[in-house]
Amino acid sequence: MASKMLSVEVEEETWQTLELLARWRTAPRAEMVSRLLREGARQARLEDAAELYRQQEVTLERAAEVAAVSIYDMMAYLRQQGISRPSHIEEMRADVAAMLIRSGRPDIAERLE
Amino acid sequence: MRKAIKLDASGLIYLTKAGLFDLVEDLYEEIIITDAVYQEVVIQGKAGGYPDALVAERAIAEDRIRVKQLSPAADKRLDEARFPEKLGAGEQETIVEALEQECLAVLDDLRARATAAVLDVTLCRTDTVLVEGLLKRRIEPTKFEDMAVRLASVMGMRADDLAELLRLGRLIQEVRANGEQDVERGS
Repeated sequence: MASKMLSVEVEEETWQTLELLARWRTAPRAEMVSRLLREGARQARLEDAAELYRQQEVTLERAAEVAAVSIYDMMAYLRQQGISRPSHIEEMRADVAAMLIRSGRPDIAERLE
Repeated sequence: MRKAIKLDASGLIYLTKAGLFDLVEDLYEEIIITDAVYQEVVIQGKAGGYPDALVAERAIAEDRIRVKQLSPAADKRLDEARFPEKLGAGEQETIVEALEQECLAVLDDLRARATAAVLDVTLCRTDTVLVEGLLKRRIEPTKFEDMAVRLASVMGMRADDLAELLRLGRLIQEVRANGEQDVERGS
């Protein structure tokens, strides 16, 4: 995979944390920073996509695409975050009314209002 | 007359998780998914180790679900439709294919449904498939509530939405109990 250089200024405390992690994980600092950045970026992408879904800016499926995760992963993440589906009562009624009309029972469909 | 039904990814996953796939098979002549939905549900699902992906794959292998590539006409419609980027690829394909084949599309998301409705696609929700099962006498009233609760759980449905689904089910049950004429006439 192609890579690019990134130069970033960090606070002293962050630097020290990175040093410590590199020692604990016995990994070269650059490699560890790259991994942390990758994981952090993925997580941020997931969070932002979930927020778009919560605000009903995108569908569940599209949120998964935006986050570059599977729809299963997005479903699990939303559930974990307590982001519930928007209410669909009107849509449900409209569906059942249409179903009843297709079945030749418009009289019952009227009762759904 | 039973018709074909097109499922989007979330619809297929929810129905599989809730163990309601048999009901869908009973209600509709054919269950179809597009290639994008197959990629999302089976390929990505297997890569992530999700067992529902294997269930869907088995259903496809057993010819219980047909995976349909977009026809050239549907492909052209997809290009021309310029769907908003708020919809996923599977939803877009499901909409154009349902339009081309003039069959029912199961879509739950409000944005996808709004787009499909503008194009005059006949729609159903995953949860209202249960109501259709009750209407067509494929589900016994005693089983409807259990199935609704199960589906609500896998879909993460809000309590008031579940309450409404159960209310709609009771309305249909009332109709059946009053001995009204079989609602399959004209379906």
